[in-house]
Amino acid sequence: MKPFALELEFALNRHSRAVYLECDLGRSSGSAAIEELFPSRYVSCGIAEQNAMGVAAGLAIAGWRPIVHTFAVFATLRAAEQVRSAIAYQDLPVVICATKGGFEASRSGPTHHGLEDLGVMRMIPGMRVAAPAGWVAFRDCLNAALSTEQPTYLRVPTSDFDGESVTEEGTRLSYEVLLIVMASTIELGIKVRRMLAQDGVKVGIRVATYIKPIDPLVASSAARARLNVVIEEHSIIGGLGSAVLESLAEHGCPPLLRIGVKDEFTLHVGTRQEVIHAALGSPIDIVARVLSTLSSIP
Amino acid sequence: MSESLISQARRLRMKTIERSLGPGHHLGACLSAIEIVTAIFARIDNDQAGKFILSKGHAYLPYYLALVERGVLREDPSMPAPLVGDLIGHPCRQLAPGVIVSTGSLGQGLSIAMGLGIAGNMSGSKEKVYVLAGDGELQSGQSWEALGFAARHSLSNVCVVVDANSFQADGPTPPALDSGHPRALASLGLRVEFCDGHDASALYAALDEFHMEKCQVIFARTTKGKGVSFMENSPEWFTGALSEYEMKAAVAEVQGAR
Repeated sequence: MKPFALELEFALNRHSRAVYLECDLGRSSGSAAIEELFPSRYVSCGIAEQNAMGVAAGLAIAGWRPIVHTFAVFATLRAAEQVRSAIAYQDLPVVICATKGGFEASRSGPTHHGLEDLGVMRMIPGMRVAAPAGWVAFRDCLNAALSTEQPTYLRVPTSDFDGESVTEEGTRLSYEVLLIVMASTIELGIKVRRMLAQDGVKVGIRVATYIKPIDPLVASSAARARLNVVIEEHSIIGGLGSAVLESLAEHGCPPLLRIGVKDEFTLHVGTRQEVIHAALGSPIDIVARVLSTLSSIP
Repeated sequence: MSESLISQARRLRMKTIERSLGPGHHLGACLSAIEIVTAIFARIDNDQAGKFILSKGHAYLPYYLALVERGVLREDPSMPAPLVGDLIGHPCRQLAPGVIVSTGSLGQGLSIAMGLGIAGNMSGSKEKVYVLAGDGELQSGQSWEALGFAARHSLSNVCVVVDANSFQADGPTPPALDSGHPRALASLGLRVEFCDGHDASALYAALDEFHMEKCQVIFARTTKGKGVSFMENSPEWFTGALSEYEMKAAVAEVQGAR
C-alpha cells in the first residue's frame, strides 16, 4: 500500500468515527485500498468536489469524523466556498487531505498546481492549516485533526524526508539569516544553508508544519533573526511567508524575504525539483538574493 | 388532518407576512413555500423523526416560525420585532435551536442533506431527510452534483421538495429548465413526482411515499407570493420591503381567504 493509504488505515483503525470520502482519485493517491479495508466507511463522491465537502459536512453534523481527499487545487479553489460555508461556518470537524500540493503534479501544468491552497485555507475562520513533512509528522497532524473540533486542511507529503536531522535544537539561538522552509522545500533549504554557511553567514533553518496557527517556534525564531528567508512551494502572496510576516507585524517586523512562486503561472514542465527551481530559483540564485538583501539591511 | 393542515398553513402565512416589515425577508419566496414547510413539519411531527434542511435558505421566515410554533425556537417577547425577525436572514444553526444545517448559499443544503442521508444509512437509521430547494437553485452546478450523488448512492431516505414557483431574483425561470430539470432527474434514476405545492394534504401524502432504492424529488408547483394578490408572480416581491399598510392589507387578504 502507498504511504497515504497506510496512514489512512492507521487513522481509521484508531478513530472509529472516521469516515473517508474520495473524489475519484483513489488510484492516484493510493487511498483506493481503504475501500477494501473499510467498505462501510468509504464514500465515493466522484468528480464532484463541492458536493463532497457538503456531504462531509452532513456526515460531521451526524457525528462522524470525515476525511475528504482530492487534489489541492480542487479542494481549495473549486470547493473553496463549500469549505468555508458548509464546513468552517458551521464549526464542523472535517479533515481535508490534499495531494498534489505545490508542484507535485509537475508535468500536468498550472491547472493542477496547488499554489494558492495554503493562502485560501488560511483565510477561512477557524481552519487549521498544515503541510507536514514526512509521514511521522503527517500521522501526528491527522491524529490531531481527528481529535479536534475544528476543521483542518492538510497537504499530504510525498516523501518521508522530514528534515528533523537538519533543524537545530535550542529556541534561544538567533541567526543572521533564518531559513524557514516547509515539507517540499527542505531539500532546497539545506542546499541554501550550506552555501550561506560557506560564505560565513550565521544561518539557521526551521521547518514549519502548521501555517495556521503559525508554528510558535517558527514565529519566535523569526522574531530574533536579522533576516528571515521563507522558502515555500506556494505563491508568495498569502502563503507561509505571508503568515510569518503577519506574526512579525506587531514585533518590529525584521526583514523577510519570500522565496516562492511569483505572481504568474508556471509553464515549466519537468520533475518536481526542476519545476521548483524554475519557479523559485536555483540554490545559487536564492543565495545571491539572500546575500544581496542582507547587505542592504542597515 | 387535511383541515388542520390548511389552517396551519394559513396561520403560518399570516405570521410570515406579519414578521416581514421592512426589507430583506424574501417574502415572495417565503409565501410560495408555506404549504411545503407546513407539510414537512407535519410529517416529521407525525413520524416523530426526520430532519428538515432548508436549502432554499432565503425562505427562512416560515421555517423559523414553524420552529417557534413547536417550542424549539423561542421568541423574545420584550423585543419590538420578535426574535425571528432579528435573526440572520438565512438559517443559522449556531444561533437558532432546531436548525440542523446553516444554509444560504444555493446548492449547498442539498449536498449537506445527502451527507445526512449517507450518515443515516451508515448508522442503520430509518429517519428521513427532507430538503426544500428552489427551482432557480437547480441552475447551480452543485445541485446536480448532489442529485447525482443521490442517484449514485440510491439515497431512498432523502426526499427533495422543489418549490417550483417559476421565478428567480431577476424574473421568471427559463421554461426550458423548468420542464427539463424534472426530465433530467428522472433519467438519472430518481423518483420524480409532481404535486400542487399549495395543497398541504397532497404534499403530506406525497411525503409518505417510500421508494425503495430511489431518492424522491417532488416538484411542488407553487406561486411566488401566494396568498397576497399584489405579490403573486411579481418579481419585485422577492426582496421587496413591506410597508405597514401593505402588511395589513396582505394579512386581511389571507384571513379572508378560504
